[in-house]
Amino acid sequence: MIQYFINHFQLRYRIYASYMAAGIVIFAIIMMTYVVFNKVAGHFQDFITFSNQSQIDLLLTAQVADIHRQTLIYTYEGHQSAADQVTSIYGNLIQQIDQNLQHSQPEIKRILTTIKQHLVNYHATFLQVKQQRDLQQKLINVEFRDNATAVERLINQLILQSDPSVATQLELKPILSSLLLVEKNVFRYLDSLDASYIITAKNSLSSVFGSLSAINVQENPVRSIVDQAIYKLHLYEQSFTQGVQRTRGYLYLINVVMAAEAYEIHYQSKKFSTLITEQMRKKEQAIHAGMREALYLLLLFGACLLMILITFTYGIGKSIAMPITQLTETFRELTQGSSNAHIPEYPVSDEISELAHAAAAFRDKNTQTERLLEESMQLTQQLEKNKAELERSNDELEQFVYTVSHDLKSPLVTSMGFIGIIRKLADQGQYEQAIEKLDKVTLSIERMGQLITDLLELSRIGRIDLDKKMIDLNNLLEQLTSSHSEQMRRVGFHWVIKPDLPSIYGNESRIRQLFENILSNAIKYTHNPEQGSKLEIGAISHEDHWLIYCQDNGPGIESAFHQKIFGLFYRLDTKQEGSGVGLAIAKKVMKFHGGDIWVESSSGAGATFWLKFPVPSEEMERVEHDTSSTGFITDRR
Amino acid sequence: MTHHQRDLLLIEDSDEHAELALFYISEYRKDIHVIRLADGGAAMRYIESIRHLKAPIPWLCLLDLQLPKYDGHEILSVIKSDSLLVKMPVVVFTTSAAKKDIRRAMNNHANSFITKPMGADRYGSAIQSILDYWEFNMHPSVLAE
Repeated sequence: MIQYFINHFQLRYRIYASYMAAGIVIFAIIMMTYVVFNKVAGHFQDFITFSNQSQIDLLLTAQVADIHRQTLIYTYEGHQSAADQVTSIYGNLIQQIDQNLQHSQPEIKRILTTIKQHLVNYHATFLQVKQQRDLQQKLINVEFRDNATAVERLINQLILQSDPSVATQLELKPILSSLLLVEKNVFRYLDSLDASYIITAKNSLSSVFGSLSAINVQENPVRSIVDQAIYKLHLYEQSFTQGVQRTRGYLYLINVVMAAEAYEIHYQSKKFSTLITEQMRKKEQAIHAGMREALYLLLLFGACLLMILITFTYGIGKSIAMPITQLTETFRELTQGSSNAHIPEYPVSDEISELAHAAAAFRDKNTQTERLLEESMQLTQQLEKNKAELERSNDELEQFVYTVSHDLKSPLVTSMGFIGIIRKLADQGQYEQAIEKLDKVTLSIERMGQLITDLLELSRIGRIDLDKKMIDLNNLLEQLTSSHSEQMRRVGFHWVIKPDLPSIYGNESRIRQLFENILSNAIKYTHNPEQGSKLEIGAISHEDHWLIYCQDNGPGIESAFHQKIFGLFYRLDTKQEGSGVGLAIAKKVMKFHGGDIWVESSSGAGATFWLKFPVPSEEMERVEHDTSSTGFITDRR
Repeated sequence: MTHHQRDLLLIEDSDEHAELALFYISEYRKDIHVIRLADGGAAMRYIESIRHLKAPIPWLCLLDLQLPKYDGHEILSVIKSDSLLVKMPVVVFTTSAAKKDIRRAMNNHANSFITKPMGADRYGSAIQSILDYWEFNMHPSVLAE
């Protein structure tokens, strides 16, 4: 993932992405929370509904109680206002139930409908009761009173008419009081609805009946009135019984039918409340479960999102930090001057790639610096070498000047010294001896001249003779043999030249001088009476150089002097003539030709001078060939 | 003691210079016996012989520097590193007046460094002066006696 980020997204987009991811996660969590809260809010709404419904239920119960109370008031008291209250409460209830019927659950609806049904029944019964009560009232107030009054009047008439017999009079008075007792008990009953009053009234009425009947048994002038009274008394009894029956009837209606309806309503209401409670309990359980689930989901989902976010953020952080860390390491290496520090691959073009480019530039600079340093070191080495060369050359020059000054002073000292001796001898009169000494002076001055000539010769090498060409050594040495044959014959010297000597590229006169010096040295110093003095010259071919050896059979040279003999004016043997310049010249000639000269020898076993010549390059040979061929063509013309 | 035969070691490659020295020495002091050695090789051989034979060391040594084979400096260092010969006064007598020669000779414990004079009479007087000076010097051989 990290590599993918590095390879495909710019730094800033990676940072944006991490913030956006965080934002998305936060938004997702907020959304989830919103959903959960929404659900909770829904549950609350349900609870409010439940609450409303239970309120309705309570209200219903209360109102039903109220209506029943009012009904009872009306029944017992007969107040019209109570009846009006009942009707008004009923209207309210019906309206409320209808309202709730519109938006209620089927079950609640069903219960409410039942309640409504019972309520309607209740009201209908109430109306019936009202009617009954009105009728009873009317009966009692009109018929019953009329009858009572009629009976009373008749009995009073009787009393007035039957004056003659005291017995009848005596019998009629209790009848009147019994009659009054009946009325009194009836009204008592109507007030208290106590059945005992009815029995008392009935008994009183029966006694009135009995008394009247007894009166009528006797022959009596007032028979008709009594019969009339008995008739009226029957009517009275009838209305009385009717009134009681009616009272009992509406009492039945109230106490049985309406109470049943009220009870039914109460029952339904209770059922309603139970239903609501049940539903609420279920709802509560559902809410608990739902909430737990929602919270669990929220937690799980949130944790997952957080994990994803953490992974993503870690990836992005790493994708930013990793290349920077690597680059930091690179820069650390670079600051230490490394020119091969590893610069990490970075495919996307952004700030980090800029850093990588800077590192690359740094590395290039380091490489450049290193190269410059190397160059400078090479230059320094070259300089050191040149300095050493210069110092060596300076030393050589110093040595040269030193040697020259000594060797030039020496003959001067000699000549001056001898001049002093000559003077002294002359003073003593020994003229002949003095003149003898004069030769020494001459000789010494001559030698000085020779020295100067040799020095000039030495200084010319490599300075004047710059023309070089291919030299066939066989030819050269042959010429040398012929020019020195007389001298060699005189001292009995053998000069052996091996065939197939190489051609070398050089200055002919110098090469000739070189071999002349070697030859003259050999002639001078090789004394071998037994085998006869001999110098053999041959060549050995090597890859890039020729080695030419000049081997004599003389006394040899001690190894201590192998270097010294090439020094200027250095002489091993002062008995022989010579200025000590020959081998110095040979050395300088060899140096001038890019070669070298050295000696191999041990005392008493002869000496070998080795000459090392570089093999002429093809170019040199070609040039040589061209010029010679051109010459040839010119000649032919 | 003054009439004692004195050996003077003359190490000189140039025959002419040797002849000059011999001439002046013999003219000035008849009693000095000059042993002349013509090159470094001869000088080395002579030194070896003295060392081996335990012969009496010479009274004085006149040493030239420019010599065939071994040069004066090498001979000087051999003389001065030998326990016996170190007692022999060595006068470096040379044409050279180069500082490096003087320095090297002094480092090798040369007893004197005298440049051969360039003048008709000065060679002789230089020889005389050297002989006079070393005549005054108490020779180490006295210790041996």
